[in-house]
Parts: sequence; structure tokens; C-alpha cells
Amino acid sequence: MKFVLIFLFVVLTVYLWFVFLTIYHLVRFGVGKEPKSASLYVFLGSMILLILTVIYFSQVNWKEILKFIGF
Amino acid sequence: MAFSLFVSQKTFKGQLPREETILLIRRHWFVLTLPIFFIFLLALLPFLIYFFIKNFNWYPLFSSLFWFLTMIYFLILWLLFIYNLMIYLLTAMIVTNKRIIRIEQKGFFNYESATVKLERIQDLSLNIKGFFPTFLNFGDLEIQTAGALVKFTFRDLPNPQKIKETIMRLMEKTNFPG
Repeated sequence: MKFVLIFLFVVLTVYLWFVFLTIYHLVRFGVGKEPKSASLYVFLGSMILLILTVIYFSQVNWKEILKFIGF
Repeated sequence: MAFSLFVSQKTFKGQLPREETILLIRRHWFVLTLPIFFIFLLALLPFLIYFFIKNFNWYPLFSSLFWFLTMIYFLILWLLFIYNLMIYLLTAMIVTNKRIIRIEQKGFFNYESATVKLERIQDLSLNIKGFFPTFLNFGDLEIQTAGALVKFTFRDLPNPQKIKETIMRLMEKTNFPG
């Protein structure tokens, strides 16, 4: 179970870092209003996906699965 | 400006005094369709797999794990999508009353910018090649400057004829003021 949590932590950290870099570039280097609007949609979309991932993670019955595969 | 969220949409970093932005052009939307289409196809893959595995005995136990891993997969596809979108939005051509600037974002830490002054432009040529460029009216604009061996090329510009005409009018104003 610890390894699963570490896996999730690493995946979400890399994901959030990538999203941050994208939004930073759009806001900092974008010319015109389109990059700025896009950064808002990127942020909202990223947060929705993040929340859904955490919800799906919480619904997994890790004990049963680990018992089934012999851990 | 440090916090560029609040500036006018026609200003940009490095703008000179009394320099006005005449055109801000990005590549035609069609250049985004191929990557988005592939990402969409990849997004259908989990549903295809679900169609095959849903009738197995072990599926009820592993279904929540399957959908969790699908969400991780969608996170990766989302990152691919926003990366392509970022490259598209940060690659632009800016035509001002003094010069033409090509901004090209090639990656997170790979950025190119080239400037050509209007009075240095010798020749402008258009290149529209292919089925989709012809029907959707987008193509390449090549700018030859005085004394330079290398041409400036702006790829996949929408309505390139109109952009060429705008630049020629600006060149006339620059070379023959009043």
C-alpha cells in the first residue's frame, strides 16, 4: 500500500510540475489574449482530471487486489 | 511589463517606443488537428480494452484499478495535448510599423526569435502547396532581406496573401513616408 501511495505521489508531482510549466510559459511568454485564456482552461482541465484521478484512486480496493496477487 | 496578464493584447515584451502592433498571427488551426486527432484516437484505447476484458471472471475485482490506471493514462494524454497547445500558441508572427518578428517556441526550454526591419525587406514570396493548404488558404511566407543569404520563412500562416499585402503597404509607408 505504501508503494502505491509513493507511485501516486510521484505521478501527481510530475503531472503538476508539467502543468505548472505549461501555464507559466503561456502567461509569461504568450502574446495576445489567447494564451492567457488558454492558461485558464488548462488550469481548470488539469484540476478536474487531478480530482477525478484521486477519486478513482480512493475507490480501488487495494487490500483485495494485493491479496489476490499474493502480497 | 513584469505581470503581462493586464497589458493590452497588442503589446509584447521588447516592444520599442512608438512601435505599434499591426498584426499578430499564429499558424493556421489545421496544424493542430493532426496531433489532436492522434491524442483522441489514443484516448479511445481504454474503452476498446474495456470492451474485451469486461466479461472476464476477474474483471469485477480489478475494474476500479483498471479505471484508476485509465485516469493516469488520461493525465498523460492531457499533458500531451496541453504541450501541443502551448507550442501552437507561443509560436507567432508579429508585424509592427517598424519590423516583423518571428517567435518560435520549440519546447519548454527552446525558444527562437528573429527580427527583420521593414526597410531591409527586398522580396516577399508566398508558397501554398497541397490539398488542405489550398482549400483552407494557408501557406508559407518567405522574406528575403537586403544582403542576406538566408530567407526568413513563416510557416502555415492563414490567409498569407492578405498578410503579404499588409507588409507591402507598411514597406511603402516606411520607404516613402508622407
